[in-house]
Amino acid sequence: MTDTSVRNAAVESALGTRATAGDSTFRRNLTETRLTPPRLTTTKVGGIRGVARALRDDVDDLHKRTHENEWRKAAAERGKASVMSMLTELADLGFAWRDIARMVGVSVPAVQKWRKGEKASGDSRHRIASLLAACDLITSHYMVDEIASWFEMPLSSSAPVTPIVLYAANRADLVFEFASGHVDPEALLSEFDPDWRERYRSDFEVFEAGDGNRSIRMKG
Amino acid sequence: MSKDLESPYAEGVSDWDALYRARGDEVSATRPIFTGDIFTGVLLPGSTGKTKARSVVVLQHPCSMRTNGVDLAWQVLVAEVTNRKEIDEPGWTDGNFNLMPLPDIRPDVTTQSQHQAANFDNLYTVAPADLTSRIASLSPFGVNLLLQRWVHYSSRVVVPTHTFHEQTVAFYEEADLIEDWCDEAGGDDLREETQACLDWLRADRDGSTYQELLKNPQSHSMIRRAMRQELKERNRAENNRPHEGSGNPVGLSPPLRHFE
Amino acid sequence: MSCVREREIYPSAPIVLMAIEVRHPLCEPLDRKQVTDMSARVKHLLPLPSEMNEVSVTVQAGSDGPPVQQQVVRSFPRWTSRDKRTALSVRPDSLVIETTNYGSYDRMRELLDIVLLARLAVAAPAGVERIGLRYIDEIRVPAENGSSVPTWEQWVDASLLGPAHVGAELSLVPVVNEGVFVFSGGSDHALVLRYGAQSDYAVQSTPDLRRPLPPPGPLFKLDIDSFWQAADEVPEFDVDLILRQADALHEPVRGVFESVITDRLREEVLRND
Repeated sequence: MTDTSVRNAAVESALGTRATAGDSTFRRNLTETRLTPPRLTTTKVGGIRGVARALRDDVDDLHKRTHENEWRKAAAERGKASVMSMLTELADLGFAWRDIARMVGVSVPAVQKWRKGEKASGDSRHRIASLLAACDLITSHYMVDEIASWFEMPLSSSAPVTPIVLYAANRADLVFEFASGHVDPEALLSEFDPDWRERYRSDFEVFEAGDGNRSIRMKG
Repeated sequence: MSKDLESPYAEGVSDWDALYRARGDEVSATRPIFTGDIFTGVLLPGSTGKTKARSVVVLQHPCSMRTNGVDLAWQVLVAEVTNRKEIDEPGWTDGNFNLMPLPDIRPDVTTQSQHQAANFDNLYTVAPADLTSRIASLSPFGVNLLLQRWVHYSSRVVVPTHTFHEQTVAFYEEADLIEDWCDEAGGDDLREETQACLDWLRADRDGSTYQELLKNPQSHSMIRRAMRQELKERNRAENNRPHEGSGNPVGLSPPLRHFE
Repeated sequence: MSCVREREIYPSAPIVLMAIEVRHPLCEPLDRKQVTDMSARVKHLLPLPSEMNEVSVTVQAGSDGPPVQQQVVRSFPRWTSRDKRTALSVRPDSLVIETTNYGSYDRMRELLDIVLLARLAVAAPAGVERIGLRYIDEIRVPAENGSSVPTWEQWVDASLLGPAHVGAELSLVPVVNEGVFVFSGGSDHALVLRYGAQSDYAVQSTPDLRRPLPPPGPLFKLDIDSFWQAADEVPEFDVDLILRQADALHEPVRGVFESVITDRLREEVLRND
């Protein structure tokens, strides 16, 4: 469709007709603005190459840790079940309905309606299946017992940020990373919210008062 | 360094939905009355002496709301709720200290009553019997924000919402458990079902009770699972009985109806 | 028809990754002192220094017999933000800024300015060979009518959906599509548009560069690579020249994006908080 008169150096390189400098180095793909590897997932449908992949020793390990592909497949599998049975499974694991609602991104009444048989949208069904699949992955890869309790526990005693908070903020990447135990939890908190120390610094603490109930007092 | 009052704004964007658990006809009748619940139709006198039906929000702290875990105290502290335009972020963090804004409390309308606010200058104590028409209940975040503003107005002390959360999470969880139990049990007598749930929570288990254990958030999921198991077993027992009214298996409270 | 407001920043923009790459003739890798100098110059924006290894394979024709493969391991310095969502890599032949927290072009331009000045101060490359801006979007929309897959023609231009109709009579069901289109801009500019409906994430999240990960589901990928390539003459590595070129490369990107999406996507998804 373009004729030769409007071709330019950039287009030449995009089309690959301008070969790399004549020596017989491994042919590099010049067409792309390169990203530090690995960054893009390549579609396996033949012919179209993705990023020029520099091989990297532990690339595969990283892939395994970040789990995206596995999560996607597991969610597709889980999504074959009915919404009601998926919700029942989540509750049987010990999740609170309000936390399920939060992580699926809907209100508590919406979840209550689904439990009574009302139909959920396609996306909500995906999201419910994804949550269940994420639990499957974390339990099987990282031997987490009591997955619901694990989700409710703060990453660090210094801040009230739990895997539920991360997941609800679309940071499942950090949830999986936390489960792996490879990264210091406070480093993960910084990745989620660089200001977390200041945000959660408090002069107050909660303690058990004389009547058995919890009260608030100044620290120190 | 001083801390600001918090708000439902995040990075300049408002998230009113985050304040509420349920609004309008989505409010569950089986949920126990809790801090932050908003009721309409309460007959109360105003500053001019005129008595009319008003809306109120429950301010009573969760731990002091009930005498025995079931029955509300004979008087419950509430604040009046009236129409109020939406408030911007600085309005939450730096002003309107006498208010707890309740924006979009009526998401179904576009009239003046869509956005309201509770006013800590207009306080009442009301009999629980007057709290019949609940139109909204708050999320844990909403309850904690209410407590933060109420405590600040009373004392000029800013306590972070996450500290309130630590303090109230066991109560919120208990309210959730009671609501779930009453939903699953499906009986007509809410008071009876609530009592049954509390009896189960307070049953002695090797010197402790689930209600005691609720103080430790790590035990919540275990207690939820145990409750689901208990309800399954009760339903099974109910199904196995030849007819209603015949001898109840030991340990169960009055007959449970099937959930419909 | 809903109009596109001037330089509107969508509350729910689908952009996942944006990168700027500046390639230049081969330099000496930065030595330790230069790396420290660079760290000081970028630390207010990219305070976490690190190193990354790259293994590349070269194949050389053997004098007689089979080709010889050689593996070379190189390491290059890298700096990231505290949330690990913005990173700078400095290789001997290029510098790359990547972010999964785009915000706006102005923000990236400012960062590019600082990075270029720092690079020059530390060791000036001999020229500039290629400048590229890369934008990767993952468009996610509600599925309707109880279906699990969105009807993409409601949300993106039909021209991006390929010959999906072809299989209809043949019991062939479209599963994945991926297309490439290359445009020529004037003055040695090109824009490569890759696009397609898929369910794989288009961009991974790794400990080196994190991205928010919404739950898996169908998405439409838009991958726009707008770049300039030096022709016969390789200009000087000049900050103003590079920034002007980046601005020129940025110009058509927005237009291309707006042209391939529908009003419905704009109104119901992108403009929603």
